[in-house]
Amino acid sequence: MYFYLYDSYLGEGKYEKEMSEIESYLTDLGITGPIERVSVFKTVKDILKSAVKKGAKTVVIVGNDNTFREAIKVIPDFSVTFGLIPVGGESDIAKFLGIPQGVLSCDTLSARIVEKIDIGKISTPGGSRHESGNGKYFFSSVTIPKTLNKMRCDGSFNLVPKEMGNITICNTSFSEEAASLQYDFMDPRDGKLDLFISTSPPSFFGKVRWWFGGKANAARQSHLTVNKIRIESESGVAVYVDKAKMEDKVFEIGMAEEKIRFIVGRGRLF
Amino acid sequence: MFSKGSEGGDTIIAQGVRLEGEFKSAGRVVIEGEVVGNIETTADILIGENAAIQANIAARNATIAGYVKGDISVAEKVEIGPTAEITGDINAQVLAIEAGARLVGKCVIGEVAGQKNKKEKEE
Repeated sequence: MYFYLYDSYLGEGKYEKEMSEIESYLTDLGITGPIERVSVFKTVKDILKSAVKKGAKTVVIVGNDNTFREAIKVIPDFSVTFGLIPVGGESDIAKFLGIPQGVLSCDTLSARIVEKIDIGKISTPGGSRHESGNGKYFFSSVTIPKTLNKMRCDGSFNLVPKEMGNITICNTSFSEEAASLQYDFMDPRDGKLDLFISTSPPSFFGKVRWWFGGKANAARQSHLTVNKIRIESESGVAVYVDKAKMEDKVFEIGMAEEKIRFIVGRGRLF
Repeated sequence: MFSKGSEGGDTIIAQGVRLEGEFKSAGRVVIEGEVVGNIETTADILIGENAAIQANIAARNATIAGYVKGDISVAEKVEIGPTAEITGDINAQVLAIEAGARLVGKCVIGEVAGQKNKKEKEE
C-alpha cells in the first residue's frame, strides 16, 4: 500500500491545481493511497508511525527539499520504501535522485526503481545537549570548518591536520560543500564515508583566499574512505550536520545500521 | 605503471596532514604528507617528493620520490626517483632507481622476492 505524506505548505491555494493534477494522475496509474499532512500537532515521525501501523509498504514524501531534510531525520527508523514527489520550486534533492518535478515524478514512482541508499549517523557518546541519545541522521555531509582536531578513523589510525583545515565528511555528493570538492567517486550505496581534509595552501595569497572560502589547492586536499570517525576535543568542537550546527566534546560519525530503500529515477546522479 | 581510478577513488594524504597508525586500503594510495605506522594496499602506492614516512609499506607497485624510513614489500615493481631518501629493506620483483636517490638497506629483487611477497599476502 502507498501512503502519502504531504508537507503543510501544500494546503496553500497556489498549489491546489498542481496537487489535483498529481492526485488524478496517481489514480490513473493505480498508485493512490491514504494522505496525511504535517502540522504543528503532527510531526513527520507521528505520520510515519501511523502509516506503518496502517500497513503502508511505500511512503511518498510530497514537498520540497526542506520536507525531505525533515523526513531524513527519522526515516531510517522505519522499514518501508520511500518515494518523493517534489512540489513547489526546483528540488536539488530530486535532481540528485533523478526524480522530475511535479506531476512527472508520478511516472518515476510508478516505474519503481528502488535503490538502497546509505544514511550517515552522528552521535555524541558523552550525551549531547542537542540530541537525545541515539544520534542524528544525515543524508549529505558533516563539515568542521577551520580545525586542528585529531580524528580517530576505523579504530586503527589517527588523522591529524598539521595546519588549520576544513574537514568534510560526505555520504553523498549532494550538497554545496560536497560539490565544491570536485570529487566524482562518491557513492551513496557503498556503505562508506568519504573524508576530505583541505588545508590552507602554502603561499600568503593562497592562505588568504582559502580563509575566505576559496577552493583549496587540489594538492592540499586529503581524501580517505572510512567507516567510522571519532572526533574529540577538550574545549568542544562545532560541527555542521547537513548545515545544522551541533556542538560537543566528542562526536562519533558513521553509517546508520539500515540503508533506506528509495524509489529513484533513471537520471539519478549516482 | 598506475592504472586509472581504483574502486571508490584514490586515498590521498596531502601535505599538511599526518596519518598515525595502521592504514589498510584496497585502492591506490598517494602520499604527500606524513605517515607513522604501517601502510598496506593491494593496489599501487605513490610517495611524493614532500612526503615523510616512518612506516613499513606493502603494495602491488610503488613509486617513491620522498623520505621513507621502513621496509618496503612490493609484489611487482618499485620505482625510486632522484629525490627519494630510503632507509629500509626492499623486496620486489623489479627495482628501478634513478641517479641521485639515496638508499640504505638490503634489496631482494626478482622472482624470489615476488614469491615471498605473494606468500606473505596469502598468509
